[in-house]
Amino acid sequence: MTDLSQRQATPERLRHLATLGYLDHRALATGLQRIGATPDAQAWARFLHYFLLTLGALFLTSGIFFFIAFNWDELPRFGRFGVIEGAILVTVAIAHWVGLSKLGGKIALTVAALLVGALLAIFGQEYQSGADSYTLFANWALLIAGWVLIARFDLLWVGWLLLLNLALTLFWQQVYPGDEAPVPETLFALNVVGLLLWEWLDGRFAWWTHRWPARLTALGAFGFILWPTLTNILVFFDNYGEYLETVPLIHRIAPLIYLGFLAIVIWVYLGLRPDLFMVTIAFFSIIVVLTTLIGRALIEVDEILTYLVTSIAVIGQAGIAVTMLRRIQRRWEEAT
Amino acid sequence: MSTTDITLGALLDELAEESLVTPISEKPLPSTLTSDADVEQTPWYVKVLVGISAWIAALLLGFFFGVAGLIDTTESLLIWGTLLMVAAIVLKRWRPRAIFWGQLAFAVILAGQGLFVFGMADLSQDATLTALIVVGLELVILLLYPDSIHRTLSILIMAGALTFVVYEQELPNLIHLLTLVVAVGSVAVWQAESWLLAGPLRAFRTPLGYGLVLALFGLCLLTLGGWFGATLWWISAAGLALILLYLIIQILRDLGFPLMSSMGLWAIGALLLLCVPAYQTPGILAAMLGLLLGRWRGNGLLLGLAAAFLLFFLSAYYYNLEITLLNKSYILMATGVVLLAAWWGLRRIATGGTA
Repeated sequence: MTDLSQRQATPERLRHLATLGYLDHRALATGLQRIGATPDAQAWARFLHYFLLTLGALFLTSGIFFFIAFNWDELPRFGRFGVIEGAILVTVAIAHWVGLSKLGGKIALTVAALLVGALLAIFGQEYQSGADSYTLFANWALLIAGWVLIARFDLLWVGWLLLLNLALTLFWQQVYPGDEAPVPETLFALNVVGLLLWEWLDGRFAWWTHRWPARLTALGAFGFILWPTLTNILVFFDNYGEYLETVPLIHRIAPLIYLGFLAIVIWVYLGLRPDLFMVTIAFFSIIVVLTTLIGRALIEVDEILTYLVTSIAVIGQAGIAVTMLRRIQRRWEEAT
Repeated sequence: MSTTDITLGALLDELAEESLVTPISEKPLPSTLTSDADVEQTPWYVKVLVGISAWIAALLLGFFFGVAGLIDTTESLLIWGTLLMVAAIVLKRWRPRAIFWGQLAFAVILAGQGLFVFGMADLSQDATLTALIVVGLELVILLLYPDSIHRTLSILIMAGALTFVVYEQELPNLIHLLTLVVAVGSVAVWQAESWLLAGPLRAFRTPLGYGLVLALFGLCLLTLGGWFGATLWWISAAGLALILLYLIIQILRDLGFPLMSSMGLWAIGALLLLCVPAYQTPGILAAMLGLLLGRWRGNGLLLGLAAAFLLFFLSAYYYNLEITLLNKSYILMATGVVLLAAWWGLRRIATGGTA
């Protein structure tokens, strides 16, 4: 074990030292300030710059959307297009003027990208284009793709992925409705591609500074692949004899895809790119799958026993998961 | 939040030079610093996993008691509820650091509370009395059951039960008082964070800090539904504005800016301007309070919660039937303009280099 005093002074360690009675409140407050955990004037200025600009743009854009929604019937056709197109021109001009290397420019371009969606919605309603709504989201994503590429802004990338998710969901609902369509599997694949892209961007480009896009996308990917995996378990026990006829092949292989994804996530985020959040959601997915399996299998035997055993199983699995996660965390901390 | 790369030894040497701690040579670091059982060290998402698992286990346990025919009368609900709660408290106190037993105790105490509250509701046949009993019960559990996740939950349940009492007694405008008490409590806890952590009440810092802020957000969501019956939301907004003013003064003092400096006047001006569009929507001010508290204390989780609340509030705001869509659009646009004006003002001050 390394010398404790040689470990990095982190906010968590200082707070822990205070709870152990080693630091009093003055020493803790000073220590936190000294390591930059609590902000100085410069850190506040940076935060307020980001905070005011982001929230200001968010509120203003929301207000414009609400205003258009209210005045829909009163506004003449050219007024409707004029307001939105004018707003797009102004925000793009601001982005150009401020520059995309600055936060103001990135936010202005993000607002412009949002307004393109409003413009497409107005176009669709004004001319009764009759197109399926998935085309709106797909066209929206296509039209702003160039801006997403040049904006160098992780928030806009995540918004773009969200649009693609919506477009894909609506595509399956409107073009190939029914249980046969590989809805969750394709959404899973889309989010895995997004996750791979985020991980590729992370570390290569200085502007990609956050971990939350990768975490959010991984959460989505797990959610989408768990959906057919759990369906498989339930259908298998509900109707064992007709399982092959009831569940299409694409859904039948979902549990295998889940297991493969699970193994890769644990392998990558335990070793190659340590991230406890990713390992936590992987472990949680195991708890969900095993609990469903135990509960569904046992209910055929004894209902009372099922509730008791499943409850204890959840407690046991969560206990094992938390023990392992804390050990991993401790091992990583000791390495810093 | 990025922090400076400095070792514990170097930092403690610096603090010792200022007589804030005993030199490390005289008082070595405690070996328990590496303990993996400390709640401060556990990331929030692991705590969420613990909480969700406990909820699921508690529900299944509740079903077990129901299906097994153990709780077919009011008395059995009360007796089993009490037994389970007592067992959980004893178990948690007996093995406070054991993870499996901790999980079991968490699920058992949740199930016990559910059974007990249903029993009480059945016995009293009075919703208000039941809600008040819930408040008392949670207060007792808050003190006796040493678990920060459950303590956070207890605070949220107490806030929910008090809200229900206000609603049930047809005194909806008392919600403003509750909102302000919770907001004052939030600021007080985060302001006293270091003092709480280093003192005998250290176990209550996390649950009080997060529980009160989450309760505040929940209370502000009541503005979005006419069903609750409260009016005069400007009272909550005005109170929150005063609390925000107090917080801004504290932050300025920490940074060494006098109130009458250009920075101080900018901050107060921005707050006053913000109050104009937000006078009927305390949710906006509550989100600002959460964001400022999070940054003030360098707490990314609190910042994230406040940001998530703000996004949720704005989405839900669209469906608020109490205000017309036109007025909502004016409020949002005006708030946006105020924030952008504040940003512009800050840039002017920063480039002027005045403080």
